[in-house]
Amino acid sequence: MNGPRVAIVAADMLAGLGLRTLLFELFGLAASFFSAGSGDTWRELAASDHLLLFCDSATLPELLRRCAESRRKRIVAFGHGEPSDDDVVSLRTDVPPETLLEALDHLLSARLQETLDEPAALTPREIDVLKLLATGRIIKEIADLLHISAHTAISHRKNISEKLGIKTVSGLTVYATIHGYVSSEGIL
Amino acid sequence: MSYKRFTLRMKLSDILHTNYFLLPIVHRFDIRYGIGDLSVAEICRERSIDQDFFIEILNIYHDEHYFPEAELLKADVRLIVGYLRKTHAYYVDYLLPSIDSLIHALVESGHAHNSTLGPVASLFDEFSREFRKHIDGEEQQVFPYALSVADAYRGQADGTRPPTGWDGGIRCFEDEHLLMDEKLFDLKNLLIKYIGEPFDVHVCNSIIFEVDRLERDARDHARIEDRILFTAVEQMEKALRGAARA
Repeated sequence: MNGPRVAIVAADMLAGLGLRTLLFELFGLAASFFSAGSGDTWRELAASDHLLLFCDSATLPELLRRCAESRRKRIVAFGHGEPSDDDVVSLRTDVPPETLLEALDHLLSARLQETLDEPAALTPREIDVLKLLATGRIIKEIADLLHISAHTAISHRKNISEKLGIKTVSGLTVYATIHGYVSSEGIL
Repeated sequence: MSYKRFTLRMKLSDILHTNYFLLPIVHRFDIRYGIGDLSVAEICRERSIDQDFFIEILNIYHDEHYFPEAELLKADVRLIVGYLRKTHAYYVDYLLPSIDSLIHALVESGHAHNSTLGPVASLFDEFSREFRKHIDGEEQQVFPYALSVADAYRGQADGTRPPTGWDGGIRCFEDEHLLMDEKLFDLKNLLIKYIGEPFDVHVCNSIIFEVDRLERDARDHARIEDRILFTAVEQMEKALRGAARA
């Protein structure tokens, strides 16, 4: 969440750290490295918000199991051959060095630009959810009030957080107050 | 991005010049300014500081990807608790009041014409209250419990009774470190992305720097607590339980 917004998670330490050095030396990107073998990795990854997440093919199945669907398009799987999941971009490493670097360069410029340009505007429905969150309603209440399922309410909540870059309800409440969606007396 | 580790033979002054954010860490071991050219080993010997613990604490703070769990688990629980208490004191006595007065200065710099600053100030108030409560809980419950387990463990041969609060074990106290982290990030992000004019930009910069420092320090603190203190106590709990069954 803090600092670099590119991360690498790999079971193969050497490959992971090698990629990290490559990204830093050639592209000036300071990526965080997470070892797939460490117990804290998944907790820390879940708490962080990366624009790009590199992952070696051995770790991909577990990552896909633990990763929210909306985040899948940010995954780049590296290794030999193509990954099995269609959402995931592939970076083949069983190719000549110049081909690998070219592919990496292409992928970084396309992907980082695309993710940086993501629109941050909330939809009217998301604003409804935000107002209710900011006045202390829990997901079940929000779902009942807006006649939507709890699952949909949770998904709105996730999208709001991703768009605004604010994770906690307290932070979202401040955002809603600053933007006049709620006042100290309640919903406007 | 450096993988170079600090060693006992290095001059402490050189280490501090590598990373000035290590200064408050060093102060937690009662080492202040005026250290001359002494090496880490010499300073530790002079002041009866556990040198292995000291150097690892500097290394893990300096490189967030470095965490020698096995090495740190060798440290005495009293040493770990002592260090964690000093970091609490640093937050409560210095860092939180310092950020608090900066935030007041920021709100004042808006001359009551800026309605976006008040909500941010209340977010920090809320965080500060929760953080102090969390620290208080650790000081009042977690640390005394950890120390009593360590006492029982050391006195095991004499048949010392296990401490009270035994059933749940130390993991009962595991808590909301992650949420604390997120609130601090939100605070920085709200300032950077969403506050309106007018306000004093220099004060705002200082707030971001200090909040970032707190976030980083607290993350390090939580790593030591969750992965070292709790793990060490858990291992002793298991050994004591095994001995009780035998």
